Amino acid sequence: MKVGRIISTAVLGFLLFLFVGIDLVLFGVVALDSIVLTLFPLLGLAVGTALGVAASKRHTSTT
Amino acid sequence: MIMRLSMRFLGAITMLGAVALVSPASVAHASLSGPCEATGTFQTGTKSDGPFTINAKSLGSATVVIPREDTVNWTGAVDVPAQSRSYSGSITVKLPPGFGSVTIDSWNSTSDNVANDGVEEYKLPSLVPAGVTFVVSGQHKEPGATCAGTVHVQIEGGAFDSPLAPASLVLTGLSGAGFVAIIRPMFRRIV
Repeated sequence: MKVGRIISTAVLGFLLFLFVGIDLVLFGVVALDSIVLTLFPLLGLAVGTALGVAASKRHTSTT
Repeated sequence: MIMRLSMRFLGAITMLGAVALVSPASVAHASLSGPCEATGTFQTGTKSDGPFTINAKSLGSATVVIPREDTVNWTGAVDVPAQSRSYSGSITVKLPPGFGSVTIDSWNSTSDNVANDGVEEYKLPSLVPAGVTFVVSGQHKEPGATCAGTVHVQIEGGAFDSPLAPASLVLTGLSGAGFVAIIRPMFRRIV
């Protein structure tokens, strides 16, 4: 398992979900004080970490 | 001084738009508790509805759409005896849970006035996004009177009136592309 890959995936997941949350605010889908903006980046971090672990295992098993 | 007081509190409840960015304030929808009154008349108003007046006490729960720039005739009053007294208050914009709020104006002084009115021009920078709901809270305290209100305000226009929207979309795309690229091994076939 590669720690670097997991961290990269987690960071990118965090950023992706953060910007999606910001898009939702800027396009008027949710209000500025919505909890979505708080939860989305954390959700992205969790999803990114999980996928990073999975991708890392998969990558290791194929090499 | 109390003039100032009512003007600013009015700002909190009535004139938010300008609030954050220019100077005092602009109006909006709201719930207003306490012995305070505040009204604001937008001289030009929105493109769709033209000039309009808002009374903070009688506003319902609807979000008020304000123009990006306008001139507002405002009035403010506090129902207390007209004698010298200290007062304080603030106006804040609510941020997402966990991030608290941003104080955009506050006041603290003494006065013997109980009402005021005036005219305020404002022009919001293009960076301030249109169509986004801002939740603005104001509070004013003095002996015998505590007023508090919340205002939901949107600036008239669409998301692309501000450069923030395209910038955010680009960043979303870039981070999405990076994310997909890095998890690609998951989707490779194991032979």
